[in-house]
Amino acid sequence: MRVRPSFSSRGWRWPLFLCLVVAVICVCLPLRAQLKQMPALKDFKIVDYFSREEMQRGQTNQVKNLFTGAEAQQRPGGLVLVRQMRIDNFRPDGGTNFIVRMPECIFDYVDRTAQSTGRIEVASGDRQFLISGREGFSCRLTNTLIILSNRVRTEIHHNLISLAKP
Amino acid sequence: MKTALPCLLVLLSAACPLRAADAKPAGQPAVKMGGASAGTNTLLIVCDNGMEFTNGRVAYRGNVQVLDGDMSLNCELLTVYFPTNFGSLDVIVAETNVFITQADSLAVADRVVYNATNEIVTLTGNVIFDTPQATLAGEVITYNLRTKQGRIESKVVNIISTGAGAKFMGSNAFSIPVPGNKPATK
Repeated sequence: MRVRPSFSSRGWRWPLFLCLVVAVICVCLPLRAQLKQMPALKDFKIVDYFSREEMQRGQTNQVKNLFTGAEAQQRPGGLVLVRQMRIDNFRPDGGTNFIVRMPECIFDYVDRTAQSTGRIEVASGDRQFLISGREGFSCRLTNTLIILSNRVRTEIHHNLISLAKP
Repeated sequence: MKTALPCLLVLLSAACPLRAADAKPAGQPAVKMGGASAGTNTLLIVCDNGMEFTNGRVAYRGNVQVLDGDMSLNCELLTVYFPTNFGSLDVIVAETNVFITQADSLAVADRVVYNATNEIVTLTGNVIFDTPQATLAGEVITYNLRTKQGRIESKVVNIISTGAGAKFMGSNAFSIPVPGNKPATK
């Protein structure tokens, strides 16, 4: 007569429970450690340079975009939540081409894109041209494409129009 | 197993606040959005369906309104071109149901192109140009804001009415000093 092993005995329960506890700890602790490694970054600056193809002959300025922000927090998927972000775009001669300011946005560092459902302000370097939107935007800085949603307001100073006249 | 469940709950509850803190909605930052208010020396553009901004071109869509002093322009698509970066303004193109009013004058066209370098406005497609001095209709009308002289380019010309102040110089050329038309340079 064969004796079947009894799984209902107390001897099997505790090892099983301990294995489960160890498994949960193994999952939770690295997550906690990972989150602890990513504190909010304060007052950061990221510089984007002109590529070799974009560089013109005799060009001394190499900085194309300067990204600054008051605070950055890591988000899942490689995204960063940035507060008070500012993007300065420079001309090859070093002058400021335009400035983009966003109170808050989700920034993709790899693709150099910024998105938000909030406000944005785009101004030319001399502030003769000013665009403001309050209902969402998407910026792609690699090819300088900024799309503003819904209502947009633009102010163009007359000096900018008169400058075109010969 | 009765003791295992509370233990698991304790462990999970320790981990959950981390996720909750991660997903905490961000407060409204007190960022002052700068910018000059629309004064008399600025041209104001507003639209309803957003805009696209690229180097050298800005396109506005949906119920676009351009306000410049006493001049008002309405259209569905407005594109502003810049020659190089934002140093100056090159061309403004208004398309689809363009409607311009200034003082007592009115212009309706399918497409209006304003060239900032020579100050010539070109109206094309079902153009009606109505001023107190004259009412013109045609397919293409060009008007020089500097010299206050215009020309009807198309073959079909319909001079609906003429009044004092309007001059027609033959070859479809005309001169109408639009009232309230202020000098473009300030």
